[in-house]
Amino acid sequence: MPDWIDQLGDELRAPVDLSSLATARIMAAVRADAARRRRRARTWQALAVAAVVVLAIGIAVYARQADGTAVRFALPVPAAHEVVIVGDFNHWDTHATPLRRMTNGTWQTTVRLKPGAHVYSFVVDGTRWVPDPAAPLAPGTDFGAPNSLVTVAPGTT
Amino acid sequence: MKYAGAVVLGLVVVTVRLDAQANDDRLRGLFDPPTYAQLHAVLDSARTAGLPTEPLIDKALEGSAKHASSDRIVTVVRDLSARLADTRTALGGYGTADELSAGTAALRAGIAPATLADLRRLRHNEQVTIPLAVAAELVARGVRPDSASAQVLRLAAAGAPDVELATLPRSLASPSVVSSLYPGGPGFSAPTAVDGGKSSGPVEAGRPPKRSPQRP
Repeated sequence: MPDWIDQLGDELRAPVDLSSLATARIMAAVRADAARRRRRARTWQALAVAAVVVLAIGIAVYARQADGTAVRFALPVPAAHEVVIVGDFNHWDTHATPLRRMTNGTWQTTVRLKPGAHVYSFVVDGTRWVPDPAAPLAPGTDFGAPNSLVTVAPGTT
Repeated sequence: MKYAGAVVLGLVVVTVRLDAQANDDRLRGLFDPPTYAQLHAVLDSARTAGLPTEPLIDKALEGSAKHASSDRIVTVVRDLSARLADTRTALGGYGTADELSAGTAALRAGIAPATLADLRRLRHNEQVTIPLAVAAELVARGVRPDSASAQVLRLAAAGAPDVELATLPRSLASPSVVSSLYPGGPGFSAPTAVDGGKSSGPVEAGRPPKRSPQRP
């Protein structure tokens, strides 16, 4: 092996005497890099938490829709062509919850309701508001046609 | 991790705002601009007062579905907002949206405000939605408001769970009321199918209502 390579190796192996200013600069750069890595890790952690929260909210919303007690409603109006049920549980949407006609002429549907009191009414053939004959009337008639009242107990899914 | 809290808070705020925006859009699509403006003002003032707006929006939607006049809808929604505030006062100054809705129905049925306060005191660590709903339903089924209050308070004081309280209306309603609704009388097991031209009424599917065991 040529001598100059040995000399180069010795030179490289020899301890380098850095000035205190240079040492401080190098250490500052190392610390800054570590801080940058920590910040990046925190950002990823925050994003992971956010993703988990979004997922949890989605699951909660889905569970809220799927949760509740299944309550069956029925109205015996064999001559009707269409019966829907409207109430606070479907925001009084006259298209949201149609009833199905059974063979005996009764119209029937099952709705999942959260625990508490609910007011509702049937709408027959799009124009006739009919309270449930098998349920009590809700107190007060704000808009003419009376509503029916049902109380749903918790934990009875 | 100090950012995580801020991110979660931000998401919650955005979710709430999106929900409020969706509700606002529902009303905007249904009412003419002057009516919408009046309803919006009622909702804003309710929101500022810390009252839930969902019952108010539902009431407006009910009026719209029933083709009530705009004036009538605004009047009823405004009145409901005032009733919700009264209910909150009766409940000790706080309550969830469900509690306030149930309490408002109870007060409207004739239940005394003192009953609401007593229920809150008896169940200060629990929701009072079901007891309030039960009190209102008892009155709707023909029980006198003072009797309804007494029964609900008695069960609440005895620590009866909500599921037991909820069976009270059908077991306590006056026999004439019950027998007119269900041919089986007060000891009935409500039918789940139509029989003899009578509707089965709302029945928890696959779980016919049972009589509540009477407490001493």
